[in-house]
Amino acid sequence: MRKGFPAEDLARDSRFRRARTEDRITDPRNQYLSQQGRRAGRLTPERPDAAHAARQMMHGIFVGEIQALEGAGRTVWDFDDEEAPFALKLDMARQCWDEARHTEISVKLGEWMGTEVGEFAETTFLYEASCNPDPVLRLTGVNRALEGLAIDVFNTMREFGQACGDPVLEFCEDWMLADEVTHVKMGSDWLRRLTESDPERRERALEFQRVVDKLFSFRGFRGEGDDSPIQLARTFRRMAGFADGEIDTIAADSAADSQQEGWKAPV
Amino acid sequence: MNVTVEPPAFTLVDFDAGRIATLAAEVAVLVGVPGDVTVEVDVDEHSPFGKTSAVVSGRSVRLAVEGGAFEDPQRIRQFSEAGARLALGRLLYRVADRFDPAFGHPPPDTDLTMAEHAAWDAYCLGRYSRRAGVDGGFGRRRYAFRIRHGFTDRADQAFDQLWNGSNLTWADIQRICRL
Repeated sequence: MRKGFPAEDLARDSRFRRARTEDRITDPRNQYLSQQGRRAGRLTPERPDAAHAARQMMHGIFVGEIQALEGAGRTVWDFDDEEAPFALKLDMARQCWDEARHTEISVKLGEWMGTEVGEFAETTFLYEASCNPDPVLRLTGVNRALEGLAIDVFNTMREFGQACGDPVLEFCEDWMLADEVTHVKMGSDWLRRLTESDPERRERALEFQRVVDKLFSFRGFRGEGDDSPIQLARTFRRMAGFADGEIDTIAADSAADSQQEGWKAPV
Repeated sequence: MNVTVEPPAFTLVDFDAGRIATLAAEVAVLVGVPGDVTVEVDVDEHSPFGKTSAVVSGRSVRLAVEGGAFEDPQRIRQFSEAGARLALGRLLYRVADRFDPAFGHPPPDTDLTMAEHAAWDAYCLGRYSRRAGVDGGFGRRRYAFRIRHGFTDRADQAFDQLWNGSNLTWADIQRICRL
């Protein structure tokens, strides 16, 4: 079995449709949204399109869980015990089990909300962030950036479920959120252990995480502004081992990036 | 039926104005919009969002549609014929209701509450799915209805009445909303 698996070769059945991230970024409608200052806004029941936006986000969570499973699974296989300790790979295997369960939960939540598998296009930039050949950088990409985003997304959906009185959504998101906090905590712990005697490598890993986090903030898509559909979940991030300074950096990068012209995610 | 589409040519999305006009005319006839009514479909191709509205003025109807409402959710900037038919069916059933004296006199779209929108949409799409013999998105619409009316058995019963209903009046819809 080959090591380092390209995103374009990820297995999907005929229900799925792949969209290229570049096509979204270069969508000519973006310039008009920027000119009009048009944003989707925070995901709340007060939005007229709340049901559609929540279903679209739920589908994004579903494909994100598949890609998180694929990313953690690759880490178990791609590195030998010299590059990545067996205990780290055991943690990644445990995470695969969680991601597989989350995928099943997300499919069922999608059905609950009236969504079909493959209803919306899938982009693979989450998986692409988990393809770094250095296990420490991959760990920060997957377990701190991607899983950190998962904390923000699940908390946003949990609060949405709470606000509109959807007991199923609120309950499921709360349980998955607990797993994500554990995944980020594992990433924070392993980053510290693997770079204990190599501060330069730790710095490179944190810089890589910052780059990935900027991508995940999608020009204000995730942030602390009122118009950010995904809200930064400070409390849960602290529980997962993020320092306040790190969270401030994500918030500041997102705020600065949201002022840039270009793609605004329509969710 | 006279149907016009604005703009006559699209540059940002792969939509065809002539095709949209044909679909709108077919759907209008299917749902019972009177033949002497003029329909203008105004598509905002700049927007990937999906907001829609219908304004009736005399024997003229203006449908304002953000491009996302006709877009294929699997293919960026591509037209979805099934999605467009569903959006037009929902909007034009409302129009047909407004032209029907027996239906009553609902307020303009802009004055409806989100709960009223969800209820009337359910009634329109339930009828459209039966009339056209297509999947009208029962699950999606029920979820949208629950967000506005509650996640309760009572709300689900109200939704079923709307989805399966026919010959309802605006007063009936309001009554069902209060169940």
